[in-house]
Amino acid sequence: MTMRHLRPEQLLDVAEGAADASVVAHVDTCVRCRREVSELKTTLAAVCEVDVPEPSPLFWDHLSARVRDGVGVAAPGRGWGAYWFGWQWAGAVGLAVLLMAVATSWRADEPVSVTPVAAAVPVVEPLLTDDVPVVEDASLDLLADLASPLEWDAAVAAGLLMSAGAVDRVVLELTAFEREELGRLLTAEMAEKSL
Amino acid sequence: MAASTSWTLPQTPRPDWQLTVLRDTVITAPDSALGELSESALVAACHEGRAGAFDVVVERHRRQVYQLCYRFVNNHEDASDLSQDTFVRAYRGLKNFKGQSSLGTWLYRIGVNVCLNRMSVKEPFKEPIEDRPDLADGRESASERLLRDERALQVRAAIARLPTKQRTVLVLRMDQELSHQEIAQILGSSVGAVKANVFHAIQNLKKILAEELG
Repeated sequence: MTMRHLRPEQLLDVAEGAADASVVAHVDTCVRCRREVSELKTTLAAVCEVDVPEPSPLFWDHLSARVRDGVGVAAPGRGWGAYWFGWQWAGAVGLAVLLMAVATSWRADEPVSVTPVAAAVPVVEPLLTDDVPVVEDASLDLLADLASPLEWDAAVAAGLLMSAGAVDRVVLELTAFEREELGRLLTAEMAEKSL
Repeated sequence: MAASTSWTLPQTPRPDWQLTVLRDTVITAPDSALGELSESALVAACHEGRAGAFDVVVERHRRQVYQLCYRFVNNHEDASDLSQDTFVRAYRGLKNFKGQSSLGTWLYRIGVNVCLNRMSVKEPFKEPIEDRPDLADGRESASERLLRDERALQVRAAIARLPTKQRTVLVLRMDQELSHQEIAQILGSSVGAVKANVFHAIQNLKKILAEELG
């Protein structure tokens, strides 16, 4: 008759005191399995005796502070409110830019005087030998008019640098009420210019 | 028709009222009471972005996470770094934690991955015996303490020589006292495979210790 010994996981269960009664009964009668279990228990005990050295009591708060720093670097989870506020802010800036662009485009249709522009734009040697007189170009006049009240640094600080299509995207983001209000403002602006 | 209805029911998501109750609990509890929140409420508080909620998570689990990391690297500095890394990764991934396991088990899983990644790029540091902190408790003689330290050092060195999988299950089973089921969950393995790995880890450890002790 062939004697069946316990499988590794059964031996482990016995060593850890989690085996079924039938398995334990086998160990009682089998010298080889009993020796295996005894050796397992000895090694397990040796492993369990090894402690992790207790760090300084101050270490735990230090670890929490380090985690807090690490989490801060990882940009803590902002609530949806923060994102909504961000979009609202971006929408407001976009709307302001849009209004400014519309207003200035109307101003471009007005008769322009050459003299103030010549004073505002520094005279430089023309790089192109074009016959078109630069100072009489209405589009340059418009650009100078646009740029004069707004310093570059101020524009950067206000976040007015936009990518292509940004205004279109902002308008698409507007609510029905905001679009209605925009339409009202534009209509009022156009009526004022047409007077 | 009735049969198809009975098939779809198990797929039905959680009813909204459960979420509402949880949110109410989180929102109405004062910040000073964060430490008294249940695990699920604390996780919800973290999801809500409540200040200090994740601090409480760290406070509750930092000792276990540190000890886990220490078992892998055998020195305080690396264990400290790995513990921090574990919690930062946990914070980043907390939005994906759905409560399918306990928060502790989930953190262990992250910790094990962090430690295994570290071990794959760096040899574990063997702690010199003279640098080890004083573990005497006043009832031990100097010679007894020395013997115990020496023995612990040998066992640690032997554990460090085990294959990664065996070492991992041994650390989780013996040091962290996790059940085979929990270890299987952490490692994405079966209970049978975990038991087999623990068994072979102990067998190998026995051989290594026998060699070292001559």
